[in-house]
Amino acid sequence: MSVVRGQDSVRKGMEMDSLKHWVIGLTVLCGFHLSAGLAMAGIEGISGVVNGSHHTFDLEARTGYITTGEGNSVYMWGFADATGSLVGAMQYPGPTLVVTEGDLVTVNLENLLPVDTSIVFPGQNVTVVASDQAGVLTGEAPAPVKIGSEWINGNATYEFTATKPGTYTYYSGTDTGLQVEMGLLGALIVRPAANTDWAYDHVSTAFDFEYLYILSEIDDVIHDAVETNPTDPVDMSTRHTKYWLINGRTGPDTLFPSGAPYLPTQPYSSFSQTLPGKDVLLRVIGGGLDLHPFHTHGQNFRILARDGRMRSSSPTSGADIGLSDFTLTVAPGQTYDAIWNWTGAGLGWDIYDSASAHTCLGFMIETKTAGDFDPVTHEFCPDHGKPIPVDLPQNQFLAFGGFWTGSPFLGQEGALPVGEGGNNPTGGFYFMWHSHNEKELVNFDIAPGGMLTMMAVEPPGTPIP
Amino acid sequence: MHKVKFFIVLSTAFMMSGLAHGAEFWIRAERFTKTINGDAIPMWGFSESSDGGSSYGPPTVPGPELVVPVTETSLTIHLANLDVPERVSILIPGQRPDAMNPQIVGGRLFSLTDDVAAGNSGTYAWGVGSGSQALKPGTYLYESGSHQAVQIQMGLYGAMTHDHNTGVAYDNHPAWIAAPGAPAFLASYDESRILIFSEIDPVQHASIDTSTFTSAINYNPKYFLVNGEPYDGVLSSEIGTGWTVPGGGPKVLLRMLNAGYQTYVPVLNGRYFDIISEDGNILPFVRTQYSVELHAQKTHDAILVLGCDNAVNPSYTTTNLVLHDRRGNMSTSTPDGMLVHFTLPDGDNDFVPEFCDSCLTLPGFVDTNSDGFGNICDPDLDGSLLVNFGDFAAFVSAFFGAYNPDADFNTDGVINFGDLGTMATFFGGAPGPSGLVP
Repeated sequence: MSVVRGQDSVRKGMEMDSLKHWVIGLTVLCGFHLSAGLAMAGIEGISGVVNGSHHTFDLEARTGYITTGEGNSVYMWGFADATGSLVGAMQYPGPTLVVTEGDLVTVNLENLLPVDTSIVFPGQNVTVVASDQAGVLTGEAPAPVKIGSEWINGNATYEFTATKPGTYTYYSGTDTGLQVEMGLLGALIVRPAANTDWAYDHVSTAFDFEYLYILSEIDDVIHDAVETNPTDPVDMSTRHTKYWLINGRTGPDTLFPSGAPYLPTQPYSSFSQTLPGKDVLLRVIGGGLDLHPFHTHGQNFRILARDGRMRSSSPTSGADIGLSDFTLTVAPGQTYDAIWNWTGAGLGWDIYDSASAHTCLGFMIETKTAGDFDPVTHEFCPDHGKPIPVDLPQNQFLAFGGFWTGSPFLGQEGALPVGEGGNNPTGGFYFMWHSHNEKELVNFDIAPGGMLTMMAVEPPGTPIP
Repeated sequence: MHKVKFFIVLSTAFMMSGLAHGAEFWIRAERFTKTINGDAIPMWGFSESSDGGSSYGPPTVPGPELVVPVTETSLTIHLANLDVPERVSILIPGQRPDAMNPQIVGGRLFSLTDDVAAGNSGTYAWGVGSGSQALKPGTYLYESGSHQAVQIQMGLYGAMTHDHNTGVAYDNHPAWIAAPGAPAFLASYDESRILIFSEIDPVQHASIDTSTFTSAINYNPKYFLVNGEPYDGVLSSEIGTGWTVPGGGPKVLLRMLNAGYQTYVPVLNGRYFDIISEDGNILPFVRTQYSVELHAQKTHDAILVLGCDNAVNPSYTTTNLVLHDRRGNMSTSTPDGMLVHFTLPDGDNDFVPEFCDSCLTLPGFVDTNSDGFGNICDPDLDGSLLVNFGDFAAFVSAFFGAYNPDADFNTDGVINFGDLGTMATFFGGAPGPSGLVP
């Protein structure tokens, strides 16, 4: 198991020198973020109208706009929850639909776009209950037509039984390349019936926290062309993406809370938090049209499933053959479930500060057994009392990122120059999770930005929403 | 034309005793024009000769499918170059050739192996010479090994397949653990399809053909193809035909190859397949997915089991399976370039495929009252899902009175004692089985 990356990331904080400039600017925005509280729910989603085990979702396909980290505004097509609080507004990505294994799911789609559209649900056996016109992949909801003085919107209704738990995606089945580019995509989560804190029907998929990461891209030139001429065909071979997004936001907007009022059409955060030793379920979806190497600094993850099916050596063995890796190749349309668990094991130094009085498993000195972890702090006891093996540079030799607390130890703060810091009040270890295709870490050539977010390993006792 | 191959593995041919018999093919590289959506595009393709190289059929892109029989352990390809202005060659990634002699031109590598100039021919061998590596079973691309940035995109590629046994694509991986009741071979199949994904940049083709080409760096394909054609909005390929065991189950082997330079992600709507191999290597465990990452020059075999647990009446997708590229690659002038439309046989158009729909009589059954139960198992004339006196009364009326096709259980045109026997068999129970969800 490689922990070298973990050491690098913790000690350096941020990898790239250029990031320091961004993070100084970020402190202003993150000040806003922090004053709103660190309230980040694991996975935001909707359950629809629930009648026993029947979930009905009323979705609309609408036009709208999103904002990007360097201040641009981009015309989009997106799904909207017709019964949600943002009535009349699309969202990007579309609402995350959350149901339970065995539920009957009905999705009503009303189309207010200038073009025909539809929804496909790969991995589900879908019945088109009704549609105003047939399409190649599925029944479609045509564009609104004017009859007399009234506009009549197109409709389609899809139904399926969510027979198997897992992470799934949905997207437009009409002119898929263009309509996914324009934003018509979302996630579907099916929870196991017996255990809502398992990803699948096996204990090997149990988790303490869960997060959703929908990766996508945008070529604003295509969006401008569509905004001007919505029904003209688009030559997708001209596509040249300039924005890269997680859950519909470019970095650093990815760090702001879900439901932030200044991002009304981009309701989902991807800021992630955990505690040492806890299992975090990563639900990763290739939402766009390109592949991305999603890199989880700090620790390897263990793959559980692909496309909603566990990687199993036999039907009852659970997720026993998933690979351990630190970069996930995320391909369009595919879904991935993985468990990430940070322990600090093997770092070689006491993460709670060898100079501070604390015990590990009740002992004041290091233990010898490789599997020893403190049950409360999850400290790796073979490293207990070991000093950090570097001379920490003095402040006058540092450029400050807003997440540096002044101390390298978990839960600790140190002296900082006036005005520095503030983004990390709990003293967590912040790991940047990002597309390792580094050119994707910009917003229209402005660095840093793009496909990046943070996973914060917080000190024990920190409430994780 | 969109080539649809319904591939039936024949029983093995005889083998000369004491000798390893080799498979032998004669193909020729030649220039031709391929018209896509009215656009005449210069191509370089392979044609095949069935008379030992005396005459050749028309060139195609992809080239002819080279099927190496089960019994053969070696392969010989005689390659002629009719008029391709560059020297061409043949490589099969994943198979070790008997010889590989890179050709340097002007100090730069031009061909990865011996090559053939226009007007000449050459012979390539796998597993023929002593000490050579025997041909491996699986699904492979054969392609030019010369100036690959130009020659592969111009069309010099095709599929080569070689099964381990009749109806078995690969031997089992040593680490494979058979689940109880599973077939002896993971890679056994009932029918197969070859799906070659590729793309065309017509601007580069034109410049290559007029010798004005300088670099592939601005490669920007406009046409996206499966088996050489973009989806035309109409064509479909029927799978699961001829299956005679009720309750579903035909295993369709999808041999997917990417002869292009970009990644494609085919996604199947509504069903899963089991990916069993990568680049001609059998996997120890299947990857059950609805999608496959098809990187440039990669091959994956996947088994699509046409089971019956998906049959819901009515269902748009039950009898239409669409494999579409989730990267959205479409031709610029027609929609849905990279799309394959499979249909399942559904003689009575009730959206329940034949192999799930019938009751004991495949093919040729009917379901006259369209309730999802084939007549032969459907004495439930009142649709109560229980065969009882209400149904018997209706049967008696038809027995003595007007012909009621629903009561003609064996569909022989008369309602008589043959049908009465069926009524007796089912009396007191439920109709079926059928493909309907119970």
